[in-house]
Amino acid sequence: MTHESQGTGRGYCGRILHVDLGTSTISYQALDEAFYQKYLGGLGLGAKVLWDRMKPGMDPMGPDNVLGFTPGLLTDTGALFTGRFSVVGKSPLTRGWGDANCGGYFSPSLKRCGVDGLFFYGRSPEPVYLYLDDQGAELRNASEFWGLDAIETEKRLKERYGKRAQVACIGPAGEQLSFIAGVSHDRGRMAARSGLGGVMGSKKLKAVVAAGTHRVGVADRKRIQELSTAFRKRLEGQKGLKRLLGDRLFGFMGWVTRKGPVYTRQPADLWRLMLSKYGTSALTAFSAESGDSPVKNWGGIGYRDFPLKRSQKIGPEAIVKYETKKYGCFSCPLLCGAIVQIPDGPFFIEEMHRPEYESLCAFGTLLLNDDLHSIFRANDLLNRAGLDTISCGAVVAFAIECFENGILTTKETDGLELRWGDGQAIIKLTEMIISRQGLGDILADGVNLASQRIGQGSEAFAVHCGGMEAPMHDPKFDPGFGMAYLCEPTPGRHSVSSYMLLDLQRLDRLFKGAKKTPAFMTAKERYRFDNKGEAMAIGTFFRQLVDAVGACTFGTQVGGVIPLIQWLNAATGWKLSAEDYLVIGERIEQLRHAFNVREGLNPRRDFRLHPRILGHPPFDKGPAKGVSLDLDGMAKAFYEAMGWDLSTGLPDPARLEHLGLSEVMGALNPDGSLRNESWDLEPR
Amino acid sequence: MGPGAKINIRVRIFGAVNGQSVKTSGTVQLKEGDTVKRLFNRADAALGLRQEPFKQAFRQGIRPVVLLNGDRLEIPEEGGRRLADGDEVHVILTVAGG
Repeated sequence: MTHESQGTGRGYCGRILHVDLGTSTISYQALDEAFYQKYLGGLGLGAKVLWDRMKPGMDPMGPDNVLGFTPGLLTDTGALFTGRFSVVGKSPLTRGWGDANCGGYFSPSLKRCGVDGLFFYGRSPEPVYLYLDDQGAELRNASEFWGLDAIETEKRLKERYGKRAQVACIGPAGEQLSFIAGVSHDRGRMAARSGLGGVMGSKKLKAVVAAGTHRVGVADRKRIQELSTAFRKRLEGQKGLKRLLGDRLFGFMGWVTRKGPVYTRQPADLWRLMLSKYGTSALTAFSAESGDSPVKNWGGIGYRDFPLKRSQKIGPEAIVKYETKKYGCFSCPLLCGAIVQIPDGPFFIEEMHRPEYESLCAFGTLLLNDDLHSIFRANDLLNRAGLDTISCGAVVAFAIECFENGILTTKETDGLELRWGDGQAIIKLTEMIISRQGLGDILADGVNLASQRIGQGSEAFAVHCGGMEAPMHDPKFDPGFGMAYLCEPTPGRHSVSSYMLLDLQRLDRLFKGAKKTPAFMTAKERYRFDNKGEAMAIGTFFRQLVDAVGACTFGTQVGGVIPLIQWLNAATGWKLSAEDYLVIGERIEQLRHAFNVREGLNPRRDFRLHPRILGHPPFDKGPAKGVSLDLDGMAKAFYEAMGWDLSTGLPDPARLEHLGLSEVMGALNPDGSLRNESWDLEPR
Repeated sequence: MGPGAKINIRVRIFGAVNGQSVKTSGTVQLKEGDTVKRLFNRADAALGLRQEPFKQAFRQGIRPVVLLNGDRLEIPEEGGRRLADGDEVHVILTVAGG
């Protein structure tokens, strides 16, 4: 049973919670409407609080780091695709801004406790978890859960507090302070990137249990329902017409596309159909072939090293037969998730989320591994441990290549022969990383640190972007990814923007000034950056908006015009334009970037992409034959669009003032170096 | 091989066409000197594909990825590229990232 909130009645609760784990004190802070109009919720709220309350230059794994959980502003308002929460903090991987987000059901439960954000400070002397509901919040002893895996922890906490309680927690990897640990929810879904699970472990915070029942009020619920109903119908399509025309419907729409500038449902509709049927696993086989997937630690070519006859073994058709049911996150009509059961093969798995494309690629294509059962097993191990599958796959790839080149031997690997495509060895090494056993201890903090610890030229095989392991989309295939991997405040992030994402989102239909950017261009146009900065910047602003309202990126890619702006105005009662909201998106992006500059980081200098990502030297064969990306060209185009100084990374003061961030410039050193003098924090 | 001699091209097309998953492969016979464009015009009939995925590939608003012996071909710009006996052409109808 849920109740209408007594909160603001405008989509947000109007307060956040601060928890000092060192002193076990909990305090609420009220936020006014002006705050929400500047930062919304979710990622935006997190960016503002961390900017205000964190000292630059401190240890991400130390007590001075601040860890935040922030549901989106539209979560639980009746808007579709808006059930995500962000986790924010300083990343141990990049030593700069860190964030990750996750779907499931935690976000609405947290909001039903009457808070728009939780922020943890200090370090608890003993393992604790935070329990909160309608009545308030309390730190409770977590000793009995410490050491349990993430799925078991969640299960036991739900047994104690009931099915309505939703849990975000860490597994053993976070407890053991792995820099590539994530925050787990919904039995293996994860806010995986940035290493914030390790930050949570450093605070001795095992879990957050949210069991609220008060739904947030909105200004115009009827309008939200109308918008959601219309959008849902749009996604479901004209079923009768589709039945009548069958395949001809799409052919007809394609004809319309060619004959005029009329928007048709494609390609977003195709993507929606693929997601509905296979989830993101739909991409696995043909991305390996097309050059989208990195192969053999970014040094291989799918066509040659992992051809279709192998990649199809881990492709969607191979996986779909293990599905037992489909599911969707909170408020999602798409249902791109699925539960699988693995009754055959050497590893029985009773129940697990279907592996996502990123996991299938990181433990498949990247490792030349076509042993699907070993990927299932690794996925289950990592979900339980609370480890980022992308980063862990990259670490395994790094270790295999070190072994292949004699940098690591069986002496360092405790007798384990590390070979490409050896599923058993991959699983064994994954277990060692999870438990920090032997070589696993060296690898558990990501490839950058591992290569520093191992030395001997191993950095040549440590593929990362400013400390963050690169995701499973090759910028040589879609150079827009490269710009985002390099310039985004959380580098190496595949979900921010790219040409493919811009094409699917069709932001030109949402915002004046946004231009249509086709995903697949001529080669000459594809590798030209000087005319792409503005489009990529707008894509990035939009992504901030998406994360601030707790929306799912797929909701913006699957056809139609997602009515985010209308939902926001109906929830809050504001009358802001699409462009006003895009300004909020820019504000969030500029603030996250300023956080990094305050830490002495300049993406162009400090988030440089590994030469293999850029094609330096270029491949002599394959889809990316001869392609070398111009890193400085990417940086220049994006920096110009953002108003950032190329040499220092400093933002443009006039632009900050326009965004209402004039105080930010004063917090940055004029040369872009780390500002480490005494720091006046916002009082809690 | 002289002019007019037969050449065999191995083709494979996969991905999504008209909202349906397509995964087909086979051999298309062309004449010496025939081009990639000619292959696209001939492939559906030669392989008996009623769905006509080769033709549809260019009609659904997505630029397909075309590989000739593993190397990317820019289509339609490089549609005039001549094919040789034993060439392998892959057509990948990809959409997005996950």
